[in-house]
Amino acid sequence: MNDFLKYLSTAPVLMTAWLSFTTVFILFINFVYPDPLVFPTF
Amino acid sequence: MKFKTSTFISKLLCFAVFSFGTFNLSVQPAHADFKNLVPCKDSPAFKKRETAAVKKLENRLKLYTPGTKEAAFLNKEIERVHSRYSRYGQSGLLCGKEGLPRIIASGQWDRANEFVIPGVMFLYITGWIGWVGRKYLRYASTQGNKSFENEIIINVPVAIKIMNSGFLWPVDAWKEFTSGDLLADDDDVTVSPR
Repeated sequence: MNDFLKYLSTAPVLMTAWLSFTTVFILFINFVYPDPLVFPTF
Repeated sequence: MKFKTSTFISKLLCFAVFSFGTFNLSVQPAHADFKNLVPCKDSPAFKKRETAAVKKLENRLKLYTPGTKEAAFLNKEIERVHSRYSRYGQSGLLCGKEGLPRIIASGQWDRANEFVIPGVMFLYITGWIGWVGRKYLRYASTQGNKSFENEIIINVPVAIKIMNSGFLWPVDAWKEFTSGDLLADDDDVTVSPR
């Protein structure tokens, strides 16, 4: 288990996980609120 | 560390130049009048673009029997075009003669939501990334013979703690700058022989 955690902590693996999260997050924002051109003022 | 006034001033200038967008909060409004631009909701060319975009989709819609998945998709697309154009119209954007919305990047406050706010957000987020990255590298360099290992195999709990501590990075950066911790001493920077 420790070795597996160490593998998950290596820079390339963490980078893949983090960037996947960021990508999905931005895609989700664009799905919920499409075509933003200006910052919304509520 | 010997204190040299000229070095300090040059460092201060450097800092001022590189942090201009972040700390310059007293931007003078440009108050340009945009005679060539009209509000999008009053622009005939803008309306024409909307009808053209809808027409294109409706032509495609004719190819499919109503009720199919493709027709539903195209109907949804038409809806999205309408909502996009109405939102652009309502948000007070200015359009050019060709009917395309323009982002006013002059820094005036009444148009801050078009460029200034997203721009400051961009600088804040990129600054946060850089700040916490630097903080982690500095942490790694204190780990003795494990300093390289800490750069390749990330110490996740420490990294998360550092990431969470970096949200006030402009304040931290200023504090470090005034205490002389932000910039490396000239003697610590390697230069090529001259």
